[in-house]
Amino acid sequence: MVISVSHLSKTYRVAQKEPGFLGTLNSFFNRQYKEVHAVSDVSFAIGEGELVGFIGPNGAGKTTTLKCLSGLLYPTSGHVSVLGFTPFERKNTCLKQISLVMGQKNQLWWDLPAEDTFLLNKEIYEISDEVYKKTLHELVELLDVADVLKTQVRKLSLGQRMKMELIAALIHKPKVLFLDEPTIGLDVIMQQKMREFIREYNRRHKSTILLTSHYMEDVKELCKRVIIIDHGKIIYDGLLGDIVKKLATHKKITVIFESDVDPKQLDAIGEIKEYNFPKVVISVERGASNVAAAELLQKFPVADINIEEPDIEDIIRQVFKGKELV
Amino acid sequence: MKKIVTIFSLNLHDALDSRGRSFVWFLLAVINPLTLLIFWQGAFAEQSISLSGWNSSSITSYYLLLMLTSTLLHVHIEEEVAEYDIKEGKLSTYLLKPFSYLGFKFLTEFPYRLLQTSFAVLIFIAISIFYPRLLGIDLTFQNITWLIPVFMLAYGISFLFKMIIGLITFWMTDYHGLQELVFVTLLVLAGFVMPIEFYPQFISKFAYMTPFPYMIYYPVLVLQGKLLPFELAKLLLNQLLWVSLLYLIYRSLWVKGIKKYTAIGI
Repeated sequence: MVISVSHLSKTYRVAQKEPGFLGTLNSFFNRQYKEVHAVSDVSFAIGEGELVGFIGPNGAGKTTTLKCLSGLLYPTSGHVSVLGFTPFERKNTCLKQISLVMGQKNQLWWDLPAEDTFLLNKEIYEISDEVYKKTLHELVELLDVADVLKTQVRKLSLGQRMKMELIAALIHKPKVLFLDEPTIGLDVIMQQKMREFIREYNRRHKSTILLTSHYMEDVKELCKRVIIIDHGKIIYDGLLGDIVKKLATHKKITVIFESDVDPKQLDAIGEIKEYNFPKVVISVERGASNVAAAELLQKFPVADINIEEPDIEDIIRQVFKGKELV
Repeated sequence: MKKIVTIFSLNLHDALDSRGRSFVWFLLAVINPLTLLIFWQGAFAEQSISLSGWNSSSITSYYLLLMLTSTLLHVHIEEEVAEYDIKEGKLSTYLLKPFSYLGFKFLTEFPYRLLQTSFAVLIFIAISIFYPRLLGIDLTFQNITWLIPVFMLAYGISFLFKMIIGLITFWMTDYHGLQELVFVTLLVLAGFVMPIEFYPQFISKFAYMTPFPYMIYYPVLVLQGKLLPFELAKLLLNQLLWVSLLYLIYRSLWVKGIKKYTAIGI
């Protein structure tokens, strides 16, 4: 296994203080601390070339886990191994084979063109001239940024900067890539381009990628396998398709009516999720969806009808609300 | 070696880009010695005295050389380490790279020191042309051979001490109080206010037990040619001891502190 996490826990000690002057005084003489368990007893393993989605709500422990995996945080307990190394030891051989990209955080030199940062990384990672030229050419082409390579970083748009961040993080061709919200803040077109790049990079280099994102579209398009974490604990580790099968007990029928209909008449078909004439969204049991659609066509003035799986966001929301997966 | 040159040159490039800001900091570093020089000039002119072997001419040379020396040897890396790296989480960027953090910081600070020194050198060239007697530098070959290791070790002490101050932020949420305390201590014990010999004996004895005189004060005395060869040898030995001790303290704080690092902000 390229990544192996066994019973990982990370606890932060956070000072607590009551509001007001009395609280400050009390805290001065008798400071109270609270232990926050960011990650508790987390275990998983990822094989070579896998592209795994690591998802969870804010504060679930995703970024803490990624920071432990990349050696930034010292685990409170448990064992982490990346390419056979203990990340926190930060051995140069290990650091030369991994990379962490965090959306909207930058390693680029703000006042210099991005190419200067790439050159710096070239020397730090001890990349030969030939390999550097080849890799840079490949990344620049894939991300389509040749025209802004020599532009000062502060003058780049967010999307261009994110692309440059990716180049800086990948110039040493890491075998393991941790991507934390790589599409955050980007517009939909740029998000799509980023997703295409990540997929292509993973395919070309067989690199192992662990990706966190709040955009389910990222996960749906890129990852077959997902690890879901909530309150610092893993609640699901498996194929994304399996969750859909397990939790998507209903399908969504979207109907456009030619004329107004009485919503009460639709109650017999399924649960009305949205009624905004002429559009109505009805949730029906997965097995009964065809019958329900036929009934709608026969009994109502239907202009258009569409049967869909529920949104992946809705399914994941159900998981976070505590729906049993096992 | 190539990576060291690249990091150094990028930082130099960055320092040159912000030369205006650097010049303002240089002026701040110059104002303090100049103000004190005016004060002591007045004191010596009134009484034509000699204090602990110092007279009007040597005190003038002391403050001018203090100005030159401090631009090179008074390192200011602590705020960057404390505020940007540890508190705001920029340290993460360095930790992910296969290069030592101490090395990065050294190569970040040194170009700024060189730029600041170059401003001071320009002023010194002007003084040496128009008022050569004011400087009082001992530029004999023998003195220069002592000067080089003394300055290198003084820089090492100053740099490691300030790195240690920065690292304390791993344990303290507000670093500014400590910064002020260090600033005042340095003013008094590194010889910024006056030559350490001027202090009452208990203060000067205490000062010599700290690393501060070895950062700035002694290098100024060496530039003035005030130390005898055996004093210079003793000075180098003491500086070596301080560099070793400070490095051990730095390492120990780094190993412990990095386990407390929360990587907030990145």
